[in-house]
Amino acid sequence: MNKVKKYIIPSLFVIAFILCLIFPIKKYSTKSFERKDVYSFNLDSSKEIVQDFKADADYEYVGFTYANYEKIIKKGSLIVTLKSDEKEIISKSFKISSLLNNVTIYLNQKIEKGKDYQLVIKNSSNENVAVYLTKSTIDNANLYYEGESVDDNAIVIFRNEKKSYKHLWYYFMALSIYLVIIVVNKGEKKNVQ
Amino acid sequence: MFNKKNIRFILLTVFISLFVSFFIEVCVFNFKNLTKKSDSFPEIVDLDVKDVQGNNYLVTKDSYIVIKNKTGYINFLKLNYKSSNPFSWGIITNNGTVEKIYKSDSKNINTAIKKVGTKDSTIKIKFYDDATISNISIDNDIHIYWERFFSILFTSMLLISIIKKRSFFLANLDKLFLMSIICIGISFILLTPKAVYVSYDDQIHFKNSLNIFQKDEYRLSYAEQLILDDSSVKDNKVYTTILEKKEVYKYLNKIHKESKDRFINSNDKGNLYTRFIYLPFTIGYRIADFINLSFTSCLFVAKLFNMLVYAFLMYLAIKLAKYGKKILFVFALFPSNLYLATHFSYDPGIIASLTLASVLFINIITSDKINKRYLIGFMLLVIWACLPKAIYCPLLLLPLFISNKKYDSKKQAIMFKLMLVFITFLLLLTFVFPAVSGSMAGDNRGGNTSVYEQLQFIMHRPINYVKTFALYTYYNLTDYLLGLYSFVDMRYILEDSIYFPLYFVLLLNWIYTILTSKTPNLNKNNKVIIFLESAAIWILIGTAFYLSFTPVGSGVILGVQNRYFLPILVLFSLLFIPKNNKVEKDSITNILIPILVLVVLLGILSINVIP
Repeated sequence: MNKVKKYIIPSLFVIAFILCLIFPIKKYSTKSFERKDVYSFNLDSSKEIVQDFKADADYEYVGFTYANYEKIIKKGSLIVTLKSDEKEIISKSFKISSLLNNVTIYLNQKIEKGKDYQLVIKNSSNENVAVYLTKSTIDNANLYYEGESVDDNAIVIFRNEKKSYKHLWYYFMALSIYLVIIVVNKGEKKNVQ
Repeated sequence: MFNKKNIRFILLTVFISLFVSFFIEVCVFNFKNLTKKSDSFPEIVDLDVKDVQGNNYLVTKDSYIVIKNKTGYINFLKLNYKSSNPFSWGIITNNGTVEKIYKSDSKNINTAIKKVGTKDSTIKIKFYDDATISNISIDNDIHIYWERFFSILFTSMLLISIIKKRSFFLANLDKLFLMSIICIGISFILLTPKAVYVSYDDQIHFKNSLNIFQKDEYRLSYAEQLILDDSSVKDNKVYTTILEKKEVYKYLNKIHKESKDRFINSNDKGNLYTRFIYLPFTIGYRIADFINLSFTSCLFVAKLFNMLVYAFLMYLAIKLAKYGKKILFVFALFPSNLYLATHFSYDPGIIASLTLASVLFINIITSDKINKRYLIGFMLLVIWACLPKAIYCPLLLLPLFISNKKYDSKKQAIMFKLMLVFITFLLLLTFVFPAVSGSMAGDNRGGNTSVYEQLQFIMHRPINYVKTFALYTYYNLTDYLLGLYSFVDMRYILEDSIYFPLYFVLLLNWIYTILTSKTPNLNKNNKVIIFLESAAIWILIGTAFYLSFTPVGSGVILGVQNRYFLPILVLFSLLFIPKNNKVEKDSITNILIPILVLVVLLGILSINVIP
């Protein structure tokens, strides 16, 4: 037991510190289309909307927010496809549900500054899904529903990731608690002697 | 402990309690049904419907069906329905003078079981929307409501034990507390709806406890989602009888079993450390789910685990306290505390942890030497409580004011205190840094909020904020510390007016308890420190809500509730014990009042609330 206290636990703390530095966690920052007079748009079952946009910067992810307030989605998914120059870049199916808060889903796909993209959102569930639209006019952005142009735009959200050493907080918290226990116990030992 | 005499007493108590529960359930609550029969096919004497297809009646606006009552009494009217939308209908009794209107919807269940309670020879069922109706019947069966049966059983056992062994329990308040909270706590869980939207933000706590590690994809059964998205599951206006609620629970249990393999994507990325406090819920819920208990039983076990953690921490606080045992006992049984402890809420975990930490601190400062276990226990408890609500972190600084002489050496004292300051700094980092840097979002429930902009407002107009805060303190101090909601708060289930008289009883008892408790051996400096710490928490809570929950530039502070001050209430109350109380005054009435108030509330719950 003494060996554990003397060598193993301090060694674990040293290893943990090195691991924290070597493997930083991800931190996200987001930017979205301007939100003005936001309203929810019902995307009917098996229908799709297409949002054209031009990227104003480089981003790591692209996504949007959905919800459903009318009927609970038992089973179903949203099929989200990102296209550029009419070519499909990525397509992913998201298992969805309606929950208390609006849910944001992202495609893990790099977006390049100045390039034109199309975000196709198809509802493959049996219930309506609400996608949020903004009345803001966004440069080089257009929305189409069943091939028809719509005046407003879907609220597209972009996300970038950075390295974060936030988990060092957990490390220092654990270390501090350990040191406090050592300090308090040491004093008692001396007292016993 | 288990000698012959005690075993005989326990057996007798159980027997009497069983008899009382059975008698009340059968002979009181089912009195009118004892000699009555049900009628599964009552005669239809008149009808005006759109169409009749076999046993199905297609009804529309202004349709009606009149049935004959041959049984002499109609307790419940039962019918099946199908509708594409919610539809309204009503039951007309007392020869056409009384009409009860209902709104039914076949999205969850398709059986209505409504209380009628009439001796009329005929009753009229009137419809206001399109629906298909079938299987109309009169239900006069004896229905044993097991939740109420067990509540009466536990409460009777508790009361008999207290009356018979009052001297023992007066000398062992910790044991009395443990017995009381287990009996009454389980009854609270049994008698409240097996759903969320029952206590403060319990839907958010339930959702968080389902994905404690914030995975990208997590399991969410259809039943779990249904109670989160559809608050009507707990609604007594939609499901107006226990029998209807039972149908809903059957449906929830069924769909939970069918959709246990349902996973959804989530983008739920909060701070992991704020979720640790949900561990009791998650462990209880997952164990119950693992052994294939029904969905409603899983909810029961999750709530039970949370309640047991609260009970254990408070039991330790009462057991270890050198001063204020009675204060702790009365406080731990405040209905507002117990109600939160028996629902999805992390507040009771925080309240119990900080109350126990306060007890350990008082024990340390009133001793000649520091107790190693108490000191470490104090620190761990405060950290645990501050992980979800870092606002209480000033409490961690309390040991800084313990004299260095009480430590083994000056070096040890300084090292320890430096570490405590560092840990407090780490805790402060979790909310001060995001607030100052502008990365902390305001709470949109408060309206047009922005932490960063509000902070800028305070910086530019500090005098305005001081005025706002002074007014907030002037108008709210007494209410937040001694107001109705500090003692009894069962909002979303019971109306305030129901428990208002109980509040006065509890308030008087609380004041009496403080005035008759033994004076703690606190010097002037200790008292000043406790006062300043309490003041610091008061300021921090007010400021935090001004930043996150109040629209920018507002002249009032919004969102603050009494429950945020409960963690410091015991510590603060010790300052008001009179100087010369050499002993703790024993009074069975003083101890019985909180228990009796809880029993009264259980009675009100069992009559007014449909679990």
